[in-house]
Amino acid sequence: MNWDDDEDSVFEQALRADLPTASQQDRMRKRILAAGVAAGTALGSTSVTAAAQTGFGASVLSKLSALSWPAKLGLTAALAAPVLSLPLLQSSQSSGANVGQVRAVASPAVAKAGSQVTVLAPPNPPVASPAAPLPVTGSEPPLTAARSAVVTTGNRSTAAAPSPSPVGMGSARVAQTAVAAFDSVAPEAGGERARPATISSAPATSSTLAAETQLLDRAFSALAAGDRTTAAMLVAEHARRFPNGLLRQERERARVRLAQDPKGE
Amino acid sequence: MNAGALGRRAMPRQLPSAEPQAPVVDLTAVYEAHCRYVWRCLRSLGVRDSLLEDALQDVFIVVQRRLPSFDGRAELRTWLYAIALRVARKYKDRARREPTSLEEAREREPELPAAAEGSADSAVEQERLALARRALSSLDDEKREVFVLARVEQMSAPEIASVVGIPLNTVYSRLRAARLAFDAEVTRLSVSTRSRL
Repeated sequence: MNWDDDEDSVFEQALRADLPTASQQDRMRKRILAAGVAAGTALGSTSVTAAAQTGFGASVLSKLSALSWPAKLGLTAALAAPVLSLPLLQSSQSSGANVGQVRAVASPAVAKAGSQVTVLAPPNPPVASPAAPLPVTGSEPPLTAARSAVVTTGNRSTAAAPSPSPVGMGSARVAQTAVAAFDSVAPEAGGERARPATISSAPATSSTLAAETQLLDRAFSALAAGDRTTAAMLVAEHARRFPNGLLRQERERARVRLAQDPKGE
Repeated sequence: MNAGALGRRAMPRQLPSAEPQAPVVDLTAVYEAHCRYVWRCLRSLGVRDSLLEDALQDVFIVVQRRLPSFDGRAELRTWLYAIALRVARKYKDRARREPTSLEEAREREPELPAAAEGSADSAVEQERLALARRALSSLDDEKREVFVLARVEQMSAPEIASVVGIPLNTVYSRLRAARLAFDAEVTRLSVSTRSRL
């Protein structure tokens, strides 16, 4: 049955015409992109290509501002990662010292076996970031939408943020964390790229930031899984170990979510 | 960039070949085609404006997770609205448990727009929308859900029965009651508004 035979009031028509404006849609698309859902894949790839061609700074800054906190968390960890990975970096290739530029240099031949991503210094890095290319070895598994918000697609892999590094915490992790924080969307292991990105596998000599990130990441994962006891314990541990930590605001967010949602959703 | 470009770029990603009968549905295409209507549905169902984007994101996170298992037996739109309905219920439940700020209370009962805002037609439309939203908020959840799905989202009765999980006859009876209540509230608000002017 349809309702066409019924009288349609102007008020019902008004409700039907109540659709988001273009600016609202744009904002929502950015949010979804930040969480690595839906439009993330396509928007990420097209925007990133544009950024690589026309200048990286403004595009990435706008992306960063739109990121949800788990994405920021992962990104922050990723920015810290080069410090840990300095000995592993190869400096044989010279790089353009154009700060804030990202260039994909994967040739078709290279792309068959994997992707090579060149990451130059970020616009405003909190740590000294090397200007050497970071080879990403191994074949690239098919990316899901959640994992390809930043790095995507096909034979060409491009970094939208200075994240990929041999020790992980890469962009795949960023997107995965963003999704997992909401509804444990990615319960599976996450493939070859995700495994080394697991923050809990960071060495004991990690920085304070890495330790904070690990604690809060586990707390939010527990929260997403409905394990409020573990989440509360991890938040309390963070408060005890890092009362004035860099991620104290994220800790407060976790507390708010703990207080708000008994189901941890 | 346009939606076509997005769709073309995302098309290579397909559902697993293990389900040959399942339609090939691309997440990006789903998002581009339906996000506006899911947004409208969430808003009409009573999700607060300040939480609309969160709710929309939650809907598409669920869609992303479950899209590979979408078997095509139901209409995609029906399936999407079933997810949106449950997300909206969750947000409304959460809102009931939280203290309400003045701003949120205003969201629940939107005020009429100020005069001389845009053209005359636009002002009339905004006034109608504000009235309609207030009348919607006066409905209880059961009536509201059926009313929104039928009258705003233009779903058929069997689709609504499937989405809400109620018998077909209940859909008809709830809708009838909802329309009566909605019309009565709109009339009351209209009279009240005119008497104030």
